[in-house]
Amino acid sequence: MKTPTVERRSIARPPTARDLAVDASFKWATRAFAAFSAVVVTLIVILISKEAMPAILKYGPSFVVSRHWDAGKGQFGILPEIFGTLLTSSIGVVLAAVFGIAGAVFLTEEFIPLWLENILKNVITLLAAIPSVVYGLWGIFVVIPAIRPTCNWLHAHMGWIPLFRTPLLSVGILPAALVLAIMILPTVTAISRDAIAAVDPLLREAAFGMGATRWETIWGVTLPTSRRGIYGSIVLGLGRALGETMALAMLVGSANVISPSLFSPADTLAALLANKFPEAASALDLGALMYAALVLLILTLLVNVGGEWIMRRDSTSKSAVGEKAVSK
Amino acid sequence: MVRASGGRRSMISLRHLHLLLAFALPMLGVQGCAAPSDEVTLQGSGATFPAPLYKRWFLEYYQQNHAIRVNYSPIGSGAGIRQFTSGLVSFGASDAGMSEKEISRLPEKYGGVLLLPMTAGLIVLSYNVPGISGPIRLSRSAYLNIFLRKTTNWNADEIAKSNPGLSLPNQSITMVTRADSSGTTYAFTSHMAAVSKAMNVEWTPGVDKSVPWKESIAAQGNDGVAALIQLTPGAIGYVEFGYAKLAGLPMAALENQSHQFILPDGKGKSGAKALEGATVPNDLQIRAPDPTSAEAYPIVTYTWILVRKHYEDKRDADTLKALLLHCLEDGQQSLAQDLGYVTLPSAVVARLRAAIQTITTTPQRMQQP
Repeated sequence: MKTPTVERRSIARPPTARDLAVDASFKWATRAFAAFSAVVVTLIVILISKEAMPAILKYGPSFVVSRHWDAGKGQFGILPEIFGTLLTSSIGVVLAAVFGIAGAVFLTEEFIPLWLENILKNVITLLAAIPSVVYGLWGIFVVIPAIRPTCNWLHAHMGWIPLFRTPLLSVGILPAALVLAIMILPTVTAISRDAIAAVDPLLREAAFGMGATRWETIWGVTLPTSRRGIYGSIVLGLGRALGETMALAMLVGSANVISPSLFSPADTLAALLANKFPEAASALDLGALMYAALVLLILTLLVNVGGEWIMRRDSTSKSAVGEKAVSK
Repeated sequence: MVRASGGRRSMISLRHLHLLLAFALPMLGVQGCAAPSDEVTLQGSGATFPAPLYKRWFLEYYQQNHAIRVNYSPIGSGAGIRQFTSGLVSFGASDAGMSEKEISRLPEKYGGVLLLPMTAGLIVLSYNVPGISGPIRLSRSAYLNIFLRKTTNWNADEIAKSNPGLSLPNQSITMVTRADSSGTTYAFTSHMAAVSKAMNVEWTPGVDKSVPWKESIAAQGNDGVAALIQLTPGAIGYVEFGYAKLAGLPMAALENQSHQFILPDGKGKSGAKALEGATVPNDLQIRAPDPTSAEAYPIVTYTWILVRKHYEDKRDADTLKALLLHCLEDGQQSLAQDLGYVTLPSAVVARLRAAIQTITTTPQRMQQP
């Protein structure tokens, strides 16, 4: 009877000076780290803008709508690269979202025994550990030969559709987007899986209890409830896709063209930077590349803000959706 | 429970520590022993084109003389010039030489730059045309028009005319170029410009280390271009001889100024013919954009090592001089030939020897010979 009182007293003792010091230093450490990331990002933006200044002043907005890149003549324009970046990333992210979310549902909804679930989960996470350059080589030696016959058949028989206007020679938008999809798949799957797993089991049980099928439960309860996390995973994946460099530099063809065809070679901003940066000689060359980097940064920022906005808008109506789903 | 698992964890990490030490200690020991005070390390960077040869030269030199280590990073000519200018490396390397503008950016303390044409090589047109036997012969107008995108199919009359024995397929031509800026592109475009001029055609891409090609797919480095040609049916691209040979790519026989079709050969004979008779200017930036000899392979370029005229560190300068002189010896030059490069003409070797001797280490600056 005596012992618990002692323990209770020791728990309820006022904080010592050491406790207070630890608390305070922890609080300040977290603040410092949070501020540190913000400062780093700001410094990067400032530095890039400063280096880009000669090109910004000289070319202004025409830089983003011009199609020519000729360092010798001092002409710089990145429209084909913006087009290529957005096209490869959006195809990649759509594919990754479809397969990633489906995979996440499969992994969480008790379709398979737990041990198998753990193996599959780790295998998918392992995809994230493969170096970019290996993905590039894999794309060149496996993906391209594998998809080429189908693509060229599509071109031969349905070439009137703009998407299939050119044959797939080797490198091009489609192989790049496919490899990109696989590269961002682990991001989408892992985060969506966590979001789906975090859905309150009571909600699910309630749906089952009301006679909903598993299909109805997934579509009506689980996915709508976890959609915030799923959006987050897609936005993160898209961010990675936009900035991915090495695999794309190897697979996209570095061709300065804008074509609606999925099989045409193209170029992306990150690949352009990787290809041109080592040899940029003058301040203007360097400025043009920094300007391109700034555009890429802004594109990524817009994607993140857009994603956040969709999430916000969605979460305000989430309760209504949830109610509807449950009442179904 | 918590305590037990904590104990296990620390045991594991202790075991790891042992492992770590087992690996790390000998490594530290080796590193400690291998740094005697008389070792010299030289760092160079630049062109990818001569990289296989330079690496071989420097490795063999190291095997003969363990005190001297020379690292060479093939990062491209433009980047090599930039690193040389900013003082990051002891020497640079460039397939395009250096322009006056680039020379003017060099720091005062270098006392100027010596451009040493240490070797020369062939640029070949490699292709991937399925189902043909034997090398394709390309006339001057044929390969000019291919790279101007005026000829876009392998069965075009212009190509077929010079290849009566081959059944060329109805396959569109894909041009493969360099994505990075490179000395190989510079040498190739200067040749193309010379050919266009002789034929009164405008060479629209211009002459530079990086030019705006019309409708091409591009890859990084000579090896990247070779790989992309291999991958793309109907492709044609320009690569250094050694890289094409390594990738096992077929190479076209090209028509030279005297209307002979010459195959690039690994013995360096057609290349040596091309270098014959080229005038040697004082700065040793020897150009032979369109060789005249009947036996000459048409696209040959020197590639330069860039050194300062003045080094502050005497030991670095002496080492570099000894190394460069060593590379000019007959044995090293025949090694170049074995790797598919061109042996330097003896007149050029003599000029190089003299130039290398002018590198100084005293504050007094030397005039160019």
